[in-house]
Amino acid sequence: MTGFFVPGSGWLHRLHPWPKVLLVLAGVLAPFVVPIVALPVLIVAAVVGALAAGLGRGYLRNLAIGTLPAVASILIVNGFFFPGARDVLLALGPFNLTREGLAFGVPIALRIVAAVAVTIAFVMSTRPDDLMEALIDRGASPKLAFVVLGAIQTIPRMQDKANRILDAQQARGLRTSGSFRARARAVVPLLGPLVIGSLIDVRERSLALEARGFGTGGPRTAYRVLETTSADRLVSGLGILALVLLALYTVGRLAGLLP
Amino acid sequence: MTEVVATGPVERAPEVRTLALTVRYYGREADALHEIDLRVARGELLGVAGENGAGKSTLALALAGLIPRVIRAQVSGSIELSSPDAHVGIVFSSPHNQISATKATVREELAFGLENLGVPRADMDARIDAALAALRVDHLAERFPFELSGGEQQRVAIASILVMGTQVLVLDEPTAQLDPASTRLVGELLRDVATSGTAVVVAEHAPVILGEADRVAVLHEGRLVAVGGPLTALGSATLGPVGLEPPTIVRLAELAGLTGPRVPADEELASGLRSGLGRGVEAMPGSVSGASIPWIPVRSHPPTPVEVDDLTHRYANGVEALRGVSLRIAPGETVAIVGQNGSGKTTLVKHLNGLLRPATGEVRIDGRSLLGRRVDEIAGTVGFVFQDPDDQLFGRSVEREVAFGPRNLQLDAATVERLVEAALGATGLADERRTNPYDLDRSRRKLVALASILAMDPAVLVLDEPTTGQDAPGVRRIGEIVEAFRDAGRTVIAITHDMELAARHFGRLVVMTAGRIVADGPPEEVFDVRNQALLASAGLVPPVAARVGAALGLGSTPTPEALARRLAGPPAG
Repeated sequence: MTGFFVPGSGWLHRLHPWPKVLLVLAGVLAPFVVPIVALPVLIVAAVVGALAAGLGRGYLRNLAIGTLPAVASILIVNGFFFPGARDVLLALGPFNLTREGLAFGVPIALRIVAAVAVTIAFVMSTRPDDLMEALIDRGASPKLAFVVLGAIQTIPRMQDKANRILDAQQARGLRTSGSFRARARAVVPLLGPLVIGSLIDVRERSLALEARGFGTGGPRTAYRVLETTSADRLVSGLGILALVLLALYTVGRLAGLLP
Repeated sequence: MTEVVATGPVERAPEVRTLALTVRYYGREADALHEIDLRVARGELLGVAGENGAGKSTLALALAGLIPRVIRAQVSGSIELSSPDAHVGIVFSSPHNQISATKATVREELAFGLENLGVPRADMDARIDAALAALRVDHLAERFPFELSGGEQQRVAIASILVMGTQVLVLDEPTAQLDPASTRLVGELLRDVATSGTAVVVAEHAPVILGEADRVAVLHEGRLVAVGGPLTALGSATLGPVGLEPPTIVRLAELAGLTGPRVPADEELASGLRSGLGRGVEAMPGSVSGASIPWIPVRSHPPTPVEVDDLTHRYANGVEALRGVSLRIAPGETVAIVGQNGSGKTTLVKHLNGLLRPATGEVRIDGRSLLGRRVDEIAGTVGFVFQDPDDQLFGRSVEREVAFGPRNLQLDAATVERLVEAALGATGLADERRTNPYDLDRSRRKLVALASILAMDPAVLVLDEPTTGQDAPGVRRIGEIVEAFRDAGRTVIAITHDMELAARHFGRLVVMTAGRIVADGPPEEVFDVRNQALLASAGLVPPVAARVGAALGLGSTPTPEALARRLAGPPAG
């Protein structure tokens, strides 16, 4: 199975996709609502939960790949170049790391890490097709669900295609390294075939889907039957509770009743 | 339209028939299909032949109801099914684009169509099992569809349509992207599917597929020019008047005086030719080329031998793709590299321009090692045409696309223009210079990709499967380009599954198996009857002329011309 799904049997894998959707929704919104001091707690909870579900080192690797570039650039840009900052913590040649910059950048970075930590745990433990069925079951348009899912599933194929394009254009004498100008000139030859190729694929795939009766619009049935257990109901409840609390907290803050 | 022969089970009530079916795409001035009358019965396999652009795909899409429901076009005439709720299914040529991309196993992939039809869960498994068995993919039931080979995916795609309870199965060039072994298997399976009671319509170029058909319909410029048994419909009497060329096996059958509707087996051909030994050899349409445009070199290269020394390559996943390959190719040689998928052909040629770096061993071009040279630098010397044209095309017009390579070589504008003209002329694209490449069909896009490398006028031209999806004129053109390049002193190295192309246009054949070269020599030598076991173990079937020559004890006759000469002269010892 492609995408980020990794087969397993931990507590996250055993859950029905729907409670996980509620949980991940709360987990992604929370970092942007709760006070800064709660962010490390959220991150630790997400990582511990993921590791307890047996997602292991693959999870930590994905988390690092998914957050390091953004976190590093946010900290560098804000830490060193925050406008009007005066309180210098560290001078590196002409560059000054400022307290104001970090005070602004660190919360943003923590929010991103927390949201990504939750999302990765979700995508690594949820079969995309089960997710699709669960969403359709709750009234999502099968077509929309399908488009999103198909896009996720074809990411690895897009990566293969991007590599083949790189090979093909280099073989036509395209320089892809060196000066900024050389790199800029390489953008269209590299992206053009990727975009057009995707459009051709979309056209061919939509015809093929029609041929499989996808556009008929009649009542559908499902091959994989997803059971709902009491654990699912518990987690659904927790997810909804979390979302309600987040909403109340936000309202409270906006009304000036909460810090 | 002339209904040449009405053979086979056409007396039965048709499962599907078209009456004066005419299709015209919006904005076009000619009909894509013009007044087509066809009928296909249950249990019948109808082949649809014709050049690219003749209307084969349009017919397939119309039969499946996708024209005009999904693809808009003006349609007149009618398509009648045996019952209003009869299901017509369609299979396309690209295996991976038919996988739903949402299912984790082949079994669930087949279930997808049933889910969409609302088939009760309890009925699904029995239907899935039957369809898996019919296409001989039951052993793949629990595999992830994207991990399968192209041939396996295509069989899964056919099963995914059949499982829906299809009465009429339509296939649009189902083997265009498959290797010869998979193509043969698909042919046999379609025969079985028809025999078990489905009406099958298959648009194809491959003679092994058309040869399985009960009847073949030939389309030319949107019109039906013949319907009959494969041998009749594809014979020179029907194809000649419209300027088409019969497949080699049909030409040989005509030479052998065989007139039955079905394509004969090798032995039948051999005995027919034996009884008429030497007679009618002049009738053998010999050198069909000759109209070839010579390649006038623009750039000058030093003599550029290709030297490969004890090359090994291991992919990151641990697969040892090359296990000690050594090869010397002199300037001006034409070398066809043949072998099964996975034998290491592509891995080998990707070392020739530095796309892959050897684990051990060395590659030298013009005497210098490729080690440490960038791919874009080597590109001026070694031109590489990839299998999929869509991996490189991005220009707004064919002309601009073709000029991209020579511009990268920093050539002056006048030279670029001369090279572009030469490349467009050689590939027959001069009239399409202002067309957007993506407005051409895939087989022509492949020629654009070829032109874009020809225009760099490399010393060594490397082609990866240049003829897949090409019709007979396209294949002939590519063969002519190979010869023209050779005549200009350039080297051509091609990976190909097309044994006729290899035998006819290449001076040397390199056979690969499991990362090693197992045979290397001129076609007459490699296709010699003594190599039969070796070729079989490499998964190769010699061209029909070689097989018939062997059956006749005429020695090695890899091309129809060689066979004709041997038939005319005294048999070789």
